[in-house]
Amino acid sequence: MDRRTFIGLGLGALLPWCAPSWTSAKSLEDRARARSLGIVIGSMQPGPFNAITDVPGVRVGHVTLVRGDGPLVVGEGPVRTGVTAILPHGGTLSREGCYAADFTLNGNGELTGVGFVRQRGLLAAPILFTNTSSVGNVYDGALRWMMDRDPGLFDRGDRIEPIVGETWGDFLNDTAGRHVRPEHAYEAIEAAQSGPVAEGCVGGGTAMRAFDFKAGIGTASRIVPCADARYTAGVIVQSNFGRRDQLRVDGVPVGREILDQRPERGGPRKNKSMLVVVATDAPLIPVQLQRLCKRVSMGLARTGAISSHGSGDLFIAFSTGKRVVLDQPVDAYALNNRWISHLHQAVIEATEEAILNSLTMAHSMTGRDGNTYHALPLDRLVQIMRAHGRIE
Amino acid sequence: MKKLHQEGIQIGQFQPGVRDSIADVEGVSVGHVDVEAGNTQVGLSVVEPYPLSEGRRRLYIGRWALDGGGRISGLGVAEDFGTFSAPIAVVPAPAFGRVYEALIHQGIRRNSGLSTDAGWPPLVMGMEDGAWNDARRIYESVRQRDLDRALSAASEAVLEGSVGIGHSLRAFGVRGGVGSASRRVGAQHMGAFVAANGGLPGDLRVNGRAVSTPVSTVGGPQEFVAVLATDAPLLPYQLRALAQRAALGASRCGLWNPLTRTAQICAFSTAVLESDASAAELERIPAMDDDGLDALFQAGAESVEAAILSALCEADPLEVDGRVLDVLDIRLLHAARQ
Repeated sequence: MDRRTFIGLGLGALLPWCAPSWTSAKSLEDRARARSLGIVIGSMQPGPFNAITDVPGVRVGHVTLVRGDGPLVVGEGPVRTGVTAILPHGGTLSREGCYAADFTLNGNGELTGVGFVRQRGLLAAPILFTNTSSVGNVYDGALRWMMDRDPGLFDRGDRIEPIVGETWGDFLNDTAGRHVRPEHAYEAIEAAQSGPVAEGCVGGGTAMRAFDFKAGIGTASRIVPCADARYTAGVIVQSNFGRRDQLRVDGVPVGREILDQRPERGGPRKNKSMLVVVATDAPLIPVQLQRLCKRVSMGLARTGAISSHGSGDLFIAFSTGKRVVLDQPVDAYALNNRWISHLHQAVIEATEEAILNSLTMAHSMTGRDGNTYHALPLDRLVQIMRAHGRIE
Repeated sequence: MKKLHQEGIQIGQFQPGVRDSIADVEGVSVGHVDVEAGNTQVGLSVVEPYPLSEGRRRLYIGRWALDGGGRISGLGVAEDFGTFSAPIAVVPAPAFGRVYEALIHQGIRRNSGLSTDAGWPPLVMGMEDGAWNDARRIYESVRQRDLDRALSAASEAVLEGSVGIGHSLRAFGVRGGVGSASRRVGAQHMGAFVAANGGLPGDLRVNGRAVSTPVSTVGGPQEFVAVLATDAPLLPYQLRALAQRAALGASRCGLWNPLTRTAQICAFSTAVLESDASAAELERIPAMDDDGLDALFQAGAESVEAAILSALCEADPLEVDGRVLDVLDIRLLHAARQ
């Protein structure tokens, strides 16, 4: 394999540190999750993987496409993109759904498939993240995957379709070249698994940035004690938003203290966006999930985001706590709202931490025309947090 | 001449425009393409809100859907900003992703400098036709170039009946189709384009009178799509209200019943352009006060009702594998003349 060519297929979940071979060793070795740096967000405990996959049955897979360097040649590259797939459970998705809801904080984005979610209150399809120009192909590949598993998909009138979201990654990637093929979406779904989730420059997050640092995919979770039960809430994000001076980490204005390491070359970057999926095994009905979805906004706000006009800040939440088999009687039950504030807090904390992980796990990346996003320098981050008394 | 006119059927109180189609709203055109897919009846249709040769415009839009359902893209921008820029494609559900991809590609070709911006976000509305067609064959058959062909075919002479997405539609137990109609409200125009689908045998009403239809197929998938255009300067909240009221036109002719699963209507105005280029601090927005809306609501409902009936009148009978899908017997409409 050409050493400048790397196509990682679903390696993410196996090798959290895995990254393109062309990246310098230094930028790889110093990446770490926020919590392992000593940054503790909130007061609730994370699950064993501190990932959305801590919610039993939830699986994540990435296909990462990194190919070529140098000047942009539309249709050839350089390529910095991919697909991230999130599967809510291991059953036949189009026959068994989870209660779900979506929320739009700022609408300048795409999230297909929410019509079914709003009408039936169910998620019965994979959720996929990619870059803006690849939504059609990702939808197409995910639909094929669903038809392969359920040939009667279109015979029952259920109107189930893939959920596909996007963020804009034009600075590093040959976006107009539309390099993500339907097969890549198919492979990302097939690669989905439980356990640790690769973060940073992987899957749909490959070309993304936040606060003018390299970012991408991030995840986190919280254990939620409710009476005698222990539930889990998990969040996965694709971060692509924020101005440098806005960045706050656990309330510390880090962005104002790291003013260098700015993106190199290129013009102003627009179309800031944020995709978030929330999963929980607490049994919630759609109206409760909608409330959780709104709380994502508060986790986002804690990082300094303002949800600017050009942003597509689109969130979806689902509960695995009660599997709904389509066209069969529903035996619905839901968490007593007396406990739901704990879930609100869990979602807010996990969202903030997932966004931080999307920054601290992303390495610097150079893409089209030599454009570069620098990684958030972790040594300086730790110094600043220490100076503000947040790390001992 | 439209068969509905030949039969002397008038719907409602407002007069149609010159074409009695959505193209009476200046700049709006409709294109259809038929897709070769063996015995499967496939096609797709596009409504172009403005000539694509004029570059990018941003228009106000409002959307209403039964239960909030329906397959549609571009919803985040349409709902949160109340704007859209892309052609509206009405397609068979299995082709949704491919047509979306084709619209992205089309937008990039229109303006490579802006990359996806020129056609972004694509506005695709997907319709399911259930067991009548082979979904896998539709999935395999529709190509990106079919969208390009539909865009190229866009014309102010709006074809109706069994063309484009109309190929696969059923209504009232007979063949449905695509239809269009318009109404004049003073100097303003209201136009509708519908994919007439749904309704049970025996439900059809024309000017309040029951019109029987032969039962040549099992009930359709109860899924309906309409696009409304107007040159009246309406803001997004007013357009959403227009879409809701226009939906009543589908109810009046019996296309909807309590079992209708999915219905979605998009209404847009060609009168208000949101400018990307302007650096002015304030933009003047021509707008109507709500008092003027009632006549437009009425015209919207009438346009939808007339467009559905026109679709039924223009449909062709179909025989596939020995199954015959009959059409509405137009002579039965005589009793419904007013």
